[in-house]
Amino acid sequence: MVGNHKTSSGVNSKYFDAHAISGLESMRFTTRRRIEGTYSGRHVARRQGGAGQYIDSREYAPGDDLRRLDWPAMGRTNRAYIRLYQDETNLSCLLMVDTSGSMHFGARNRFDESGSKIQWVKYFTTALSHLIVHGHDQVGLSIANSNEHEFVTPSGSPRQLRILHDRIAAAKATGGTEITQSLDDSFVRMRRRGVLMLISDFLVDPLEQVLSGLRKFRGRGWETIAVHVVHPDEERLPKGVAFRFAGMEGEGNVDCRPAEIRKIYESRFVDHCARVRDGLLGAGCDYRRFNTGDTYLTAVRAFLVPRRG
Amino acid sequence: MLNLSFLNPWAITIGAVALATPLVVHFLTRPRPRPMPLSTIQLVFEAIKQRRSRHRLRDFLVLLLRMLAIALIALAIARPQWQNSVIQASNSDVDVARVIILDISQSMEAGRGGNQPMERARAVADRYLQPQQGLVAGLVLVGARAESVFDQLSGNLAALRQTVRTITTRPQAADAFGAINLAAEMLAKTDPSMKREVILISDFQRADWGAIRFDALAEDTAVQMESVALAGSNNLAVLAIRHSVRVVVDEPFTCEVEVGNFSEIEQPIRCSLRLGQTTRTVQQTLPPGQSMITFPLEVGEPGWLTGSVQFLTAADDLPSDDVRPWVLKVATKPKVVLLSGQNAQLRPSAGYYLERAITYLVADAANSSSLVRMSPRSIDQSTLDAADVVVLDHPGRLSTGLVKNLADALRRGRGIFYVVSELADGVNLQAIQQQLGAMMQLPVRFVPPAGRRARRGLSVFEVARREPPFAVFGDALDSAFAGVRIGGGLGTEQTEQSLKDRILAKLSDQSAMLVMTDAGDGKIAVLNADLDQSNLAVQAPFVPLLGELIGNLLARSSAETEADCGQPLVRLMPPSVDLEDQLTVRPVGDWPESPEGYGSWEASPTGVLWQWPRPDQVGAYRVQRAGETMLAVAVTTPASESDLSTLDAGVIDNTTSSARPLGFRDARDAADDKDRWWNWLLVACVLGLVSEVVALRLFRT
Repeated sequence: MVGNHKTSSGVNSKYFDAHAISGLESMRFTTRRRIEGTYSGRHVARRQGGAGQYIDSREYAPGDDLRRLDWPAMGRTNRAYIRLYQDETNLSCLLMVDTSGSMHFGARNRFDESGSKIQWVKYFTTALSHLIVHGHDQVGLSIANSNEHEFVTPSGSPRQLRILHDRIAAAKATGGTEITQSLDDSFVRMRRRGVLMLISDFLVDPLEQVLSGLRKFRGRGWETIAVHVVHPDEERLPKGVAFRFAGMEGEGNVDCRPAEIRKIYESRFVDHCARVRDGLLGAGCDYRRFNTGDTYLTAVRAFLVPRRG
Repeated sequence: MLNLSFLNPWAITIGAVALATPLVVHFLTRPRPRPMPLSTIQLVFEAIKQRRSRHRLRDFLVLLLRMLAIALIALAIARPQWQNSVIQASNSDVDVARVIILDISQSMEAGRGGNQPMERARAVADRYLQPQQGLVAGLVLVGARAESVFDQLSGNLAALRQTVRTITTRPQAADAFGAINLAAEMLAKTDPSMKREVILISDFQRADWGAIRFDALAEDTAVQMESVALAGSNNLAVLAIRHSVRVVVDEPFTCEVEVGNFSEIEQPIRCSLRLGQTTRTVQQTLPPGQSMITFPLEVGEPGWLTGSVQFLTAADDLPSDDVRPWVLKVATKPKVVLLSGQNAQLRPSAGYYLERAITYLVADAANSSSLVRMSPRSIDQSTLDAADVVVLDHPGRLSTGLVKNLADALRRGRGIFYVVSELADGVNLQAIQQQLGAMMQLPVRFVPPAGRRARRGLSVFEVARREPPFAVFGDALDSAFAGVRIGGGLGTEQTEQSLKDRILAKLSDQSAMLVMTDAGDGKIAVLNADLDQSNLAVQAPFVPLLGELIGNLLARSSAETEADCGQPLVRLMPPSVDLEDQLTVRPVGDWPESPEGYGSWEASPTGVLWQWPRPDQVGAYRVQRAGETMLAVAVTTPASESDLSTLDAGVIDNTTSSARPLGFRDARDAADDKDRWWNWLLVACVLGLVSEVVALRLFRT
């Protein structure tokens, strides 16, 4: 899974496995809503007309562009009709990655993020960004934690891909969760509608602020996708007599015997996931939950299959 | 006062140290938490918040139960004993004066297999006589009389312990009050600065100790009662032997044997009565309580007979009361002397009526001289000594010598029937009373009739119908005496110390008609009527009334033939016995010899007295002169000694309300509860461990 691969576009990232992803390159990332793009592309644009795909005819009304008059229909029916076309444009996708301290969970140690959620997310976002750019769409990046807030404007150039991969690879899961601030910052920076993909474990309190930020994107017509990343060890407490659990975002320590609270914990985690899911769906997001126990390729495939164009 | 002590007090110290063990184990075995970063620590916080109070409760309970278990084990090993004792451990700063009262009455030997109260009492007494700094002690042995081993408290505890080891029980009751008084006297002689203690070691038999008081002791004297009584006694006993008041040769009589079954269940027995050469045996089942066995008997020869009543097949706790000695005086027909001043040839006359009636009543085919009629002036000493009953009618003024002789006859147990008809009779009775002093208390004083009016036609007014001699008439009493009219006689006045119930009948003028009272060892009956002026002698009830009166005058209480073991015995020998005679006392048959002798002989104005200060063995004893039995006495144990029911602490507390330190400890409790306590502690320990498991199950995760 880990290895440095150099693609034709010159991308060099240890989280990029060209051979593994090559099988997914035939799949296209499509949106479920009409979007606004910079260039002509395969995605349905929000505006109609132009030289896009014919979708319908309607009677002429004064003021209509006469260039769209359906002359053959007029000759057959002696009535003036206007041909309607759907524009197709490219996709502008902003990948917002939560790099708070909790994303480091599952790592071997503080300096080795192997097995952690952040590592899985890096693979996932690297592959997804590659596939988006491969589909001639634009992809940007927002890295959110309390220590740093990095924003890369969406672009579809090969250089953009290299930048993104570098930024993703360099991201460190540290500090507290600052998704709300990142959402607000990105909302200001992004002028045009697109797709916002928020990748996080959603271990944030309060969750309502995150939902509020996502609603603002939805209000502007963005398609919002929430990828909920869960580590298998988060679903149930580890086996053992006693642990001193340390908070990963400065919550402090607590000594406990997992056996005493196992059932309550599992119940509360299920409740937490349900609350996140219900909140995100309520905020108009497309909700996806992935377990880092599965490979990122499986997750990418599971994500793209319902969206393939 | 309940004191808690421990048989193994060192276990308390070890237990106190061991109590820390669960705490140490609890902290040492706490798992060392492994550090681990956790993203979902907020959820852990919430879960812990929900569970923490519950688990803290569980941890506290488990820790508490473990500590409790260890404490209980330590207590069980220490073997706590609740002791109701006011005697504290020795304090070298204070000298102690201690009197140990040891009960040696017969009930102390009750028991089987060496488990007698006396054996326990020896152990308890020995414990209190162990050497101790500043301790002087006295030992009071309580039988029929309390006696101390030393006259005063002594530091020679070894000698007292040796006495305790060798002392045996006696067939006697316990003189509880005498023992307390003796202990008080001994303690009173000690230095007031000494701490005074009285230790009572007894079975606290209800009959002996039921009314115990400690008023004789100084208020600061600590009294510790150590009960060594048996639990659940099972005793059968021959309690008493009763027979007709006067057993006459060749006349059948009934012997009633009172037996006791002091157990909870019926007991089959074989009871054998032996009297002289006669033996009777009955077999029956005794119900719990007291019951009566009757033996019909008849004796052909006069004189003293000895015997016993015995259980042959009784297995009980106290065998010594299964046999009871018995002596019986078989008399010939009573000899009556009629002293009358009337002419013997005068008929009808009061003397004639009496002579005929008495002749009929005491007629003896073998002895035609059962009744002797004589003039008071011609009576001689020998005739009077031979009489069983003396009847006086119109005797006139008696001489001083005759008055004295009559008083002596009463002292010896003879009976006198005096028919009062004239003023001289009242004077004679007063003279006899003066001779006897306090030994005779007539309920009335005979005085001239009120207003000097002649008494005539008086009817019988108030009669003690349930008492002899009237009880024999039963329901026919009223009709029998309806026609009786009394004339003559004297008026009566009640005396200050009179016993009203000794007035057996009154006349219609409220004067006494018939009185009867004890006088010395005999009895005197007085009929206040002139038979010449009354129709009583010609009425139907006259002969039966006279017969009953003579029978009662002849009656002697069994106290004459029985004596309590340990109590002084004093008997007046027959008049024929002289101090110069060679008198010997011997036990009859298998009854034991008395190692301390049989007392002494002493002359008295009324005859020779046999004084035996301390008959210490149960048995039948004969006093013989030249092979002839002059007197016999059965020395017995009081019947109350056979009832082994004992007092408990509650009764003692209720009867002694003073503020003195008072403790009561039952050896049964000390023996049984001591072992039971540590058993219960171990059970509690196991319950504690089970509770721990239950707690862990209830709070399981």
